[in-house]
Amino acid sequence: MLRTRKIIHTTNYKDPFYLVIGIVALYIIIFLYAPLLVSISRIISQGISIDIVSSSLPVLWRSFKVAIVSTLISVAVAIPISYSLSFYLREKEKIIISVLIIAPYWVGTLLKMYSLAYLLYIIEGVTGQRILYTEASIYLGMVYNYTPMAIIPIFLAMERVDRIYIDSAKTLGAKTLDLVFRIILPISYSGLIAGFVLVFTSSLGEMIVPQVLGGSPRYMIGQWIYELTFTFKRFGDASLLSLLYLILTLIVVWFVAKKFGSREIIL
Amino acid sequence: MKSLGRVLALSIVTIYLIFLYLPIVVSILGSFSPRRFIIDLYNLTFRWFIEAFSDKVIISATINSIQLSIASSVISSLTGFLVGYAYIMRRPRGFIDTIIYVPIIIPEIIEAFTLAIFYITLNIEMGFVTVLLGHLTFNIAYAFVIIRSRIDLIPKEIINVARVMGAGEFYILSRIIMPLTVPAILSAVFLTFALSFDDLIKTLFTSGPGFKTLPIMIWSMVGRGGISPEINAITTVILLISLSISLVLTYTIRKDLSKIS
Repeated sequence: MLRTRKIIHTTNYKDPFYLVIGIVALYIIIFLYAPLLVSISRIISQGISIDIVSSSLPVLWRSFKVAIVSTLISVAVAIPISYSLSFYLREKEKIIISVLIIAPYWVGTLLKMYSLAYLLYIIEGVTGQRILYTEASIYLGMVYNYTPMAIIPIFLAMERVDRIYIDSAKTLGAKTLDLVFRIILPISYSGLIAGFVLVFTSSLGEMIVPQVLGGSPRYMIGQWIYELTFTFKRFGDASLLSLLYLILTLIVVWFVAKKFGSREIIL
Repeated sequence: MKSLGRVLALSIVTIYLIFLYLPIVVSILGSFSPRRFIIDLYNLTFRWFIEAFSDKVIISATINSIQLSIASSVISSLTGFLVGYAYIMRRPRGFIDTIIYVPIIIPEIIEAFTLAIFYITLNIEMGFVTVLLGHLTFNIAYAFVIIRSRIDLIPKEIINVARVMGAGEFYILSRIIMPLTVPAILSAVFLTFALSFDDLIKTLFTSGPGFKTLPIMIWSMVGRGGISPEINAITTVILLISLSISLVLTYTIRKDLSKIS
């Protein structure tokens, strides 16, 4: 039987679906691209000055530090979990456990962070040790929030590792550590990079975690942008900071997409 | 040797799952516990729920949240379906990809902030509509991604046969594609509902002083350093809604995925 993979197209430009696509495109242009241009024009109309960048260097540095450290921890935690999940569990267990790991990812950050703060508060009450509203609790919250985001691409990349390599390496006498460091991790490298980029770019702009678990209002760039906008009404300065953040994100995403293929990033 | 590895793997995964779910479970238990900050499992009570949800501000925030999420979920799922259909049946795929994935890639805070500046510059009064318009950008993208992957699974032969037999566009859409896509449309409806229902960042930037949703209420209470069983009661309601939606959804998507591979 002749199997066609293509649909027979009928080209008719009066077709209502072009209208639908057109409306959605217009909508996204108005509510996504136009606002971007408007905030760029805010920077220009204010007169370009980088005073705000130098005066908010401490905040920028803290955001960077928190983001990079918690990204590294998240990826480091994600590797053994994805490895266990992918190479030691049966198919059925894999489905159930990966669902349990991914599900909280869709739950809002605020709810998860409040729950974590509540738990820490209870633990404080029992042990008398101060945990909540410290730097450590911010890192704990970041790792809690972002590890699933690192696990997803790393796990998927490990699932794609051809099991033939593993079997033949084992036959040739490779130990488990050799398998991990010389076969599995190099092959699933793209997943590691994707996990790193996803977590880093989104954790850089985090504002809920430092607020709820750190209790400090100007800890990271996201909170600072919010405060500049709504408390100080310094729209141009806030635009400049968020534009810097956006450019950094785009550069990182573009670089990685170019180097490792975009499939891993858009999940 | 193999069984040792399995035991180790299972314990790593289990420890992680406990780490992931312990806060959620404890905070839910805390909302049923009669005493503040002490989990008392013997005398569970609804007291905090009644106290929290008898507050007028919380009631109106709840109504706002429900209206917002339903509107955003219905509009974005319908649009996601139509665009998904057009994506499969029409040519300009690269174009759709480019416009639709952008809201997923750009960090939410940038989207939220630029939108706020946009509204402020144009002197648009912020409220229900401005928040809804903000939520739609990312919800349409997610609805599209979910629905498209399902339409992709429909064998192309069916559509071609229907065409050859003389079925019109509307017939193909309503009698073939739509029934086969119902599970994905439902998934999109629930996911977009949950995403709108517990969204904070976008709502915070685009809502103005007059319009409050439940997450905003929680944020304003927690921001002042508040931890209290009343907040637990509110978070429990949202957590149970969004976590159950998300569990069912990830399970169906995961099963679909393992069918493909």
